[in-house]
Formats: sequence, C-alpha cells, structure tokens
Amino acid sequence: MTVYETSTVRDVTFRNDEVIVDGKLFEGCTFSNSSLVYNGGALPTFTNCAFNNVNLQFSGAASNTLRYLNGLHQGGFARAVTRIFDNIRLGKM
Amino acid sequence: MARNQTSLSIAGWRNWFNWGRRSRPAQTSSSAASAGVHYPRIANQDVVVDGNRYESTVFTNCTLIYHGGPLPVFVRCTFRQVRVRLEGQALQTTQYLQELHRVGLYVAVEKVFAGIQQNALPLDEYPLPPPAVNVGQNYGQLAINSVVLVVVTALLGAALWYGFLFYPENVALASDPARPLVKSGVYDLMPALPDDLAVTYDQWKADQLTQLESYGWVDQANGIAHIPVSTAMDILAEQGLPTQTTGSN
Repeated sequence: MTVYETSTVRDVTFRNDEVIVDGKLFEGCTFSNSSLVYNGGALPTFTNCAFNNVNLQFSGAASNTLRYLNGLHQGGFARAVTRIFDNIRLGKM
Repeated sequence: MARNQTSLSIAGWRNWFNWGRRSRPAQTSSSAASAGVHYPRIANQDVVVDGNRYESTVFTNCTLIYHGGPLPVFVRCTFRQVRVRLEGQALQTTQYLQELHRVGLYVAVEKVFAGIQQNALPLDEYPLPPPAVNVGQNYGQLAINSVVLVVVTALLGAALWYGFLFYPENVALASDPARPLVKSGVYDLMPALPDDLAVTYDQWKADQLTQLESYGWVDQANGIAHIPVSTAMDILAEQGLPTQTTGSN
C-alpha cells in the first residue's frame, strides 16, 4: 500500500498497488491494476491521470456511507438513493 | 442548496425498515433523538441518525441527516414525508464517486451503484464480521463441546449395540433356550417339481386309460380284477346293480 505524505503526487505510475487517495492531488499519474482506497476524508483530485484496470476500495466513513445508502435502498428509499446516483452521474453533488 | 450538503425529498410515506442490527455506540443528535432512546414520534425536525437506534418510531416531515459515522439502526419505523440528507464525510464520499465518474471511471462507479442496488456491496469491509462470541472463535470451549459430543455419540452407539445386538443374542437367548427370541429353520413350503412333469403326467394318464380299457388283476389273492369300462357298463345294464350279501364277499 502506498501512502504519500505530500498532498500532490505528480507523474507517478502505480502498478499492482493500493493507493490511499484521501486529500491527494494526482497529476499526470497512471494507475494500472491498482486499487484506489478512500476513507471518506478530504476529496482527492485527479488531473490528466490514466486508469487501467482500477479497483475501488472504501473504508471508514466512506464504507459506512455506502452501507447506509445500501440500507436506505433496501429499506424502502430506493427512489431517493437512485436520485443520489443520478446526481453523481450528472455532477450535481 | 449549499455545496456541502445534498437533500432529497421522499414523497409519501415508507414502511418500517431495519438494517445494521448490531448495536452501535451512542451519538448525539443535532435536534431530536439520541442513541438507544425510544422515541415514539419525531416530527418536523432534522435528525442526525449516526449511531442512533430507533425502534417503532414514526418520523413525520423529518430530514434524516447522516455524516458517515456508525450506521444507524431502524427497527419497525414508519416514515412519512421524510427527506434524506448527506453531510460531512458521507457527502464527501458521494463527491468522491462523482470525481471518479468525471475522470472516466464510469464502470467502477456503476459497479458500486449496482452493488448498493443489488444488496451486494463490493466493499472489503462488507459484511463486517459478527462478534467473536458468535462465530466460534472461542476454540477452547469449541474443543470441549466437540469432545463431549463425540463421547455422547460413542456411548449412545454402544448402548444401541448392547441393547439390540449383544444382549438378545448372548444373554437372553442363552438364559432361556426354551423360548428363543429367534427361531431359525428351513421351511420347504413348495416342493420342487420334476423337470419332466409333462412327460410324467402323460405317462400317468396313458396308464390310467389303458387300465380302463383292459382286463387285469387288481388283487389276485382276493379275486379282485378290473375289466374295461364299456364291458362293465353293459354288464351293469343287463344284470343291474350288485347286491351285497351279509357275511359274504
């Protein structure tokens, strides 16, 4: 697992790696066969990055949030959850 | 709407739902309920649900606010005109998915959506393991119980063997041979028929017919003979039935 102390990561190629992305700015990076790990912290930003076979992993508050949405969807709030998904797709969050 | 929050209105009402059955630590609510406390009705309020447990609560015209903390628990709750709002890290999570979607990771994001909609989240932490006490990690007690189970099974098997096999054969039968529990014997209910039964029958029938159509002795010593049936019928018709004389043959 790769953890960068600096907030900006430039021109790095990640292969077969797990990258914690919270609060990071990735510029010109390449992610190949890697996992992006998000804990629900500060939003990461990806600029001019390339992704090849990337897997998403969530933990902490991010994992809780997805499980909360899962509970809402299974508990009768499917329409509300679907609207959240639509807003994500449309960039309205 | 402010950038740091999202709100969704839920039209109508929803039946109760229930998830996150594990007990969660208490978390202070912004305006209404607190963890573990039963509120029969919550109306016209914004409710921070992180870590709270609600049982048989009726939410009316409320906004359920979630920050990404411990999962809330809703048991047999009713929702009328309820809105859902994500704030804090929960909102950031959705914004993170939005960022991933923006940079082209559509497939990965849609996979997350599908996991939520199909109740099959692709989370490393999902589902969380249940408490150790419920999954047999107490290996010492598990070993003791296993040994007890094996011993009880062996004793039960031995008891069955003694009661149904050993005792009847070696004790009961030996002590009372006059009334054995089991009698063995060969019962020849149907004797074996000869292979040339038809030939034997034909020969027997031919002998009988020959005897009916011929003369011969039946008991020469006592003067008893047989004659052909047709001759016997003629004699009988001519002389009538023979009469038996007392004291003579």
